[in-house]
Amino acid sequence: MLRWRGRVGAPWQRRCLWLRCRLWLRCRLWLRCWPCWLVTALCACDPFHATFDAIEPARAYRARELRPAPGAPARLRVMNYNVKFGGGRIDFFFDCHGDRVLMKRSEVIRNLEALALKINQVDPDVLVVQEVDINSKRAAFVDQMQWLLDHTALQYGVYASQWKADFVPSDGLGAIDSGNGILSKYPLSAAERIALPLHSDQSAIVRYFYLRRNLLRARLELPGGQSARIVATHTDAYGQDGTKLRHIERFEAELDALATEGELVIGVGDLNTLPPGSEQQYGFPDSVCEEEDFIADDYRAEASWLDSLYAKYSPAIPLAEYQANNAAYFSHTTDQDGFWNRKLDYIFSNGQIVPGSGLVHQDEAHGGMATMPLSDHAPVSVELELP
Amino acid sequence: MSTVTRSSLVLALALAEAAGAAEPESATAAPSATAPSSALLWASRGAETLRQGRWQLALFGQSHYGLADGVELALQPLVFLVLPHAEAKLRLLQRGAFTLSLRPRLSYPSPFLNLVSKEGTGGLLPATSDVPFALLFESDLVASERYATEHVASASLGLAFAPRGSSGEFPLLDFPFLYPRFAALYGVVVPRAAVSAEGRAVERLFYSVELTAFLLPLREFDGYALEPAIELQYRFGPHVALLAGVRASIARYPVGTRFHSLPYLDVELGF
Repeated sequence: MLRWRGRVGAPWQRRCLWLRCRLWLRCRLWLRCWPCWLVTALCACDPFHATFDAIEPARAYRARELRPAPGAPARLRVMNYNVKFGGGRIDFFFDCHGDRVLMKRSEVIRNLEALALKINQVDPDVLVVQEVDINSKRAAFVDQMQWLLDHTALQYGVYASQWKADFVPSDGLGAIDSGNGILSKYPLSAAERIALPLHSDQSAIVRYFYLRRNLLRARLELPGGQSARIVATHTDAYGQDGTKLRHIERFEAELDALATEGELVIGVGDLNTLPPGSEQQYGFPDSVCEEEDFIADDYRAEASWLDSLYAKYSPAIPLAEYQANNAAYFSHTTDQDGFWNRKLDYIFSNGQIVPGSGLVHQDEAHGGMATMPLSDHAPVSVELELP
Repeated sequence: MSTVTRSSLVLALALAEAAGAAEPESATAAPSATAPSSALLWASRGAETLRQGRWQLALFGQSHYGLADGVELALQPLVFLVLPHAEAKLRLLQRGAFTLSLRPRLSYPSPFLNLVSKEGTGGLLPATSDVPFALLFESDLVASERYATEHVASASLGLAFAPRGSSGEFPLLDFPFLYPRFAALYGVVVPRAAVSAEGRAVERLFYSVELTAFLLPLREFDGYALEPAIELQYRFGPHVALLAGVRASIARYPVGTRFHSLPYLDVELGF
């Protein structure tokens, strides 16, 4: 007995006994709670993990090898790019030009390399991307946020999913995680995903597996204590129930709220609508979809939806310049054999935009490099004077 | 969860069961005085077989038939239409309370894979998939020990392999529950093991618990799947039983490790 006591009294055995007691207590607690766990698991309304809270922290990224941050900039170069999940000009089923659903890893990497070439050529301080995939079967599960950070001068990133499900049981899509991202040379903080309203004209099952648009909001921490707030979005494209307008209004309200706080605000997005005064508003030749779910080429009812944004904020492309020559600022087409035929991509700010710095990188003549093969959107860039 | 989602999951489970899972719709009964010692009134997950001449039909789960003493056949009639398959359980050895059986299974998955390779809703694979001609062979060695008369503990070891033609593009079917059951189409062999316990809980209520583990050494990816299952079966008599259960899946997919659960109900008829 004395020997036994002596052994138990040894430090390692005391620790072992203590660990066993803790384990036993934990097991008891777990056993006591197991009906709760079981009920929670059985009643879970999100079997494919596709939903989000109203506001969630965004997913943070860093380049694998961090370089010293550049010094305090006098100007900030901002770039907006819908990268089409690294799909380049592969004709996918949803734009009705082809039937592809999934890519091979080699295809994704080849397309990302081309995108990185363009991004490095523009050399932005901040890059906002839409349709960037981080864990999707269609993009061979390549984390494109991480890949872009590792292959450009950008070092910090934040990401918010707009389409996420363990498995989308439609068209062979399978697992998907695609969304909006902000990449920057400077640190990003206070990054949040803010949920935007869902479609109201879909069945519950379709809505469950459908896109969940969002605002991605982050603070850009610049050297010398300066900062800017960036709001990124990709608004609805196909809804017939006013969802797109609600998204645009929510985007504008977010910019307003931050601007009221006295912040330098940069709002960036693929807004899926045309600027006021666009000459062509419907009947685009690249819109070949016959299925109602994928038709998005009639903007006649949306002519004034961006009026307020243009009135309150400085756009990368001044409205007068756009209205004088629409075609020079077109940024989207689904037809790889055609050319850009509408403007959907925007940068707005309450800061001072460097006159003449706004550019839609349409081709070699406008941006120094062909961009038609890289995505179904052309990138837009602009420079902002920092106070 | 919406009704439609739940229905699709129930269908998935039915397909999953038809594609090689152990029968989750059954629980053992004590052998009757007239039947051979290991012949059951209701089908079991373990090595013991259904009584000779006995039919057991289920709505979603597998249906069983006791072909002879120690020989049981099983298939899922609805799933059979799109995924032709047949399963047998052959008793190899019985010594006292111990029973050893072999459970071979053959299925022809190509029609089902063609069915789910489609555009739009229900397209689990792209419509452009080059579905191979394939046969899926599975076999499990199942050992059971009966204890306290009305309880049975079982363990099984099995393999699945699928000789196939065509080397074209055939994307991974990574839908929960179907994923481990069709994995042999993407690798050389899929080993699996299971442990289970079943028996009478109280009066007419019977329980069954099972844990199945799959190793998934696929061509471009190594995964695994663990599937715990719990069932309760209420037997109104020798002819009708109601089954309620939940099967969970913790599996490593190319997208990462994911948890899914599937509650289900079934009605079983025996005669």
